[in-house]
Amino acid sequence: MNYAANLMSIMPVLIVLATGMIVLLGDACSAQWRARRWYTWGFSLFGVLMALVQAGNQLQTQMATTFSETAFAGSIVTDSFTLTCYVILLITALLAILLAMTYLENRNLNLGEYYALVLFSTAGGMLMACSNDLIVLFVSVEILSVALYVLSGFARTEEKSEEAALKYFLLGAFASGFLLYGIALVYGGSATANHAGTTNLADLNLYLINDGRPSVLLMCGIALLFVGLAFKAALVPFHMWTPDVYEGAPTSVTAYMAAGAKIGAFAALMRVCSALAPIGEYWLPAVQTLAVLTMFGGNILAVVQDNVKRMLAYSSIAHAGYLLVAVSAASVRNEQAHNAAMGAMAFYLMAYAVMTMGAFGVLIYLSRKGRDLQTIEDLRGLARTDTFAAYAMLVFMLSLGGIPPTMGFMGKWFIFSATLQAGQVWLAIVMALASIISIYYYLKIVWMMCFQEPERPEVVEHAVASGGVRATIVLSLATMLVFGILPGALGILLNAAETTVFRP
Amino acid sequence: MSGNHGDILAYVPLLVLIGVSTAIALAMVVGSFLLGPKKPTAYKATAYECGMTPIGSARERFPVKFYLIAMLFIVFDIETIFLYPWAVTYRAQGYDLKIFYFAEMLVFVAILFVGYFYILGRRALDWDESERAVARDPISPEILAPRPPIRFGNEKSGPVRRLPEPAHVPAYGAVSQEERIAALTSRRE
Repeated sequence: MNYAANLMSIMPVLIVLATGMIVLLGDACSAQWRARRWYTWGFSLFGVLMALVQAGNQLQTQMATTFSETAFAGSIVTDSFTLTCYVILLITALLAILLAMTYLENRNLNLGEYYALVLFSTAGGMLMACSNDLIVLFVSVEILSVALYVLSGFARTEEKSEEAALKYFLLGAFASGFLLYGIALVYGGSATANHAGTTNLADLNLYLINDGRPSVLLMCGIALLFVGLAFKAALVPFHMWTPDVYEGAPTSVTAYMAAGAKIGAFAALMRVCSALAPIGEYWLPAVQTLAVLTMFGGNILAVVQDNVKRMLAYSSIAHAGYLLVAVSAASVRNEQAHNAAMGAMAFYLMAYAVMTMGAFGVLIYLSRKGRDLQTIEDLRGLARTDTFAAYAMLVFMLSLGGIPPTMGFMGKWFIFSATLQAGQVWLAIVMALASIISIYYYLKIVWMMCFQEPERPEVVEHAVASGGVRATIVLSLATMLVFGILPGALGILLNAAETTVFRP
Repeated sequence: MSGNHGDILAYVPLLVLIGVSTAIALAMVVGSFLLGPKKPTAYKATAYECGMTPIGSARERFPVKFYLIAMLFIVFDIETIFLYPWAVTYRAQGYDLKIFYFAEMLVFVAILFVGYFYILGRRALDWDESERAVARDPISPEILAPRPPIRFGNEKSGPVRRLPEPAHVPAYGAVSQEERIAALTSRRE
């Protein structure tokens, strides 16, 4: 066994963790560091960029050699899907850090812990993407979540933020219980007369292929596992915490939470579902039901919201539904459809992360001195008062709604065609119907911005329109449009299933 | 059934352990009850509530330091307990694995120390806040900023009325905790 090789395979995670710890220590212990706030900010950015470069390198090697490796006695797997998720998560973290500094200063919250916690939760999400063992999965879910619980209560002096943190923590702990219980039952249910059960996904996959008679115990375990992961991914009916937490948390945290936690949760769901694919006919109907409920629930509830953050929270639930459609399409025993669906999910995750960060970035850009932008009414006539913000928001709304020529449209299109390839025609139709509903509330914002007269024609002063926030918006905008027109340029995402472990 | 004697005998040490630990616990409680000198004061006789006044209004501001230190203690305690299973498996390993195990534990302890230095740097172990009050920490204006009044959820039914405390009980903070408890408990008698 070569330990250096083991450590090398999770190098991006280690870089992120080390950066987080240095930021934490530097901020708490060095007076000089504390006096210059941008040390923390700059060092976090530097660490994430390093990790991004490392992940990109590994991904290129991986694609050239088409060889996936397992590390730490098979509990961690580094394949193309893992590395793709690393890249998406790191880009999300990068944008979250870029957005944060002036916003936090405006809210009087600029503490170094913010950056450390974002880095730790990113590391948790990355570990979720590479876990090949349910125990590693559980631990990484906790690393991701505990940091997010703290982050959502980051505005300590505000009641809403405190409420959000407490609510998220209590429900999250409950969901973790479900997840752990599910893992225990899977372990028990996969035991045979000859050998003990397993929590290793590859072993579980082999067991199901060779001896695919799912016991009641195993099915209960799988159900509980799905409940736990569905909570983390905010699927209906496990979504109740989402709007309150998204509304209460500081906006930059909401942006990170909406993208980062979802990427981690869906990477894990994809891993678990791929491993369980041999008995897909038993649990696939449940996943499809969840997908339909999530798409319609999220979209219909988003229609009636007045608060922009709440609306975006419900819209993120609806997007989780679309992603679940991709998971369902990837779980059929058809290698082509499986690969297409996995690639579509990676592409959609990227698109979703960037457009969500962009939309929240505009909200941050528009926040006033000491307070956030709250209602849709606050956006009235924005096209007159601030053209840049209004047209950026227009593109993000079109992209979230899935209208060409944006990346959101291409993402939906890839998921749609993968679903057709997998032979789940009805699910594809339901997805199309659900996204029609979503057009209403996205265009409501566009209508409010572009076709309404502003109450006061003068430009409101921007409290936080710093270079970082502008850079985030412009970067997301460019990504949306460039890869919406040239999706093939992101072929590396679409080939995310190139070297994955499980072949259906 | 006859072949299983060895299995059952394996549990005898466990039984002995349970018996001995029960005996020791009982001996400690009974022994201190019988042998200990008893000079009760009002302060000693009150129920122990983590350094807080056990009697009085619950809507009082109280120092949070005890809980902070207790919380940090628990975190570090549990992390240190991890050394025991490590030590047991460490002994059973071969030479090359021992180096690996040792390096892993070094990393673990280093991460533990990151947490320790963090709480030191944030002065979470500063029981006496006088130093902090003199050199006002530049990092925490928001901690010191005035907070909105605490809400109890019954504002609609009128302002919150606190029960008047008896005149002979001095105000919180005016006298020592001991005197205050003595005054409060004397009211009850």
